[in-house]
Amino acid sequence: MTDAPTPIEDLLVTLGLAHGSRPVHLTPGEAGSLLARPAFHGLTALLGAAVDTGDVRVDIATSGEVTRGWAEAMARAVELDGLLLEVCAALAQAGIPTRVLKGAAVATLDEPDPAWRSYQDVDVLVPANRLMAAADALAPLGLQPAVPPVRRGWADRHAKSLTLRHHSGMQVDLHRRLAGGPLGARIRTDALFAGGDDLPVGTATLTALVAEHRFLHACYHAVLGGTRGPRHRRDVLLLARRVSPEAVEHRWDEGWVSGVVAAALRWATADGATAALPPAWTAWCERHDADSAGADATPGFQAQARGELRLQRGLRAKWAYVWPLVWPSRAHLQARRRTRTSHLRRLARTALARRSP
Amino acid sequence: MSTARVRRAPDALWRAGRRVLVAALPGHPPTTVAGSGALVWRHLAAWTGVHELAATLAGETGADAATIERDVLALVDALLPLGLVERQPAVGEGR
Repeated sequence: MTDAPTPIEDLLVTLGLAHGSRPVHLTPGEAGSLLARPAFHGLTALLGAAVDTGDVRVDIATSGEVTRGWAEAMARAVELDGLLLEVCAALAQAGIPTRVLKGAAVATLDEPDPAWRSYQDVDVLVPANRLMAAADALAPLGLQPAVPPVRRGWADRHAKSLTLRHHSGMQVDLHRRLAGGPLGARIRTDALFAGGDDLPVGTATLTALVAEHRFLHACYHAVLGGTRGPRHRRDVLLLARRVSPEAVEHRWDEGWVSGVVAAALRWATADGATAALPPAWTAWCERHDADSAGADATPGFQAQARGELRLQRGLRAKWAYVWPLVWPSRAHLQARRRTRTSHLRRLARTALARRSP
Repeated sequence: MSTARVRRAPDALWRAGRRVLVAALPGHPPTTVAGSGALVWRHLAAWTGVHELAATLAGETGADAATIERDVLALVDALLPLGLVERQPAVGEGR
């Protein structure tokens, strides 16, 4: 979670989404502190865009700094798009369908200009039972799991995603679900592959989630993703403009929960961004309870794992879920720099801490 | 006056603002071009004559067409070896 947004952050989050007022003048120090924010917030690209549109004014030297930072973010996106093409081609070759998620899709399909959206990795959804097959198909590209899964079978049945690391340092997040925990487990992933939006990348046409699913994914990520900030707020607001409440409500039977959407919209508009939300969604929020997602919306792996354990029917299924977490593969332990003893000690400490008042 | 026709490579991956362009062919390192190259690049989606492009940009920016034509040719010369721009020879060229 992050601190409350500043007015300039609000301006950047809603850039091009709400009618701006007068241009904002930033001192070199103010611009510098925005450029110094972690890359995953995406503020450098938005600041570059705001200087371009004239919504933010800076002196010439600062403008050069902003442009340099923006160019670095653009270069990263261009490199990642190159890797995305390789990944999708390799998976297609292996007969594994894909849906491009998050950064690359939102940049091209939803932002006023792709350069306004920066991203730090490649995110691809694969069918829920093909996660490890997809990882195997990507190994010839030099992509290896950053941390091997606790067990291959467990990953194919329960993991939310698997992060692969490229020898260049770039990362690919292979997803088999859009969110962790019980709320993520409820979403029918077959529905995500039933449709798709064309995503042009160079001369290729890849497939992204349809707009309603991109919106729902942005909401789930904002509420369940653990870390959230300006970029997640902007994604929610951007996608809310692409879809109507009626179109999204048709998707509830796929397992999505209205409380998560309400919580995401309230969070995204909490600090001065209400004008960026279409009136239909403002009215929708007044009719929907953000609390109905309840305790299942608690972010963090341990909380989500406890929730998923509750979902397992019968002792055998619960054991199959828990045992690989208690006794993971040697490769998994080595990657996390743990011995079996230290792993078990850590689990015991966590369990004891939960029991103590 | 150049009668050559140019376009950006169809498989180029790129991002651009008003003052900066970053482009790469898949699998190659990105190239950054500062200044008016970004504006020129946006007009290179389809084959276009360098002279016609310079006239269009002169109309958009109010700058001198001859100066722009030199800038366009310089940009094409820089991006051609990288495969980011394709060039059709002018009539009679290369015979």
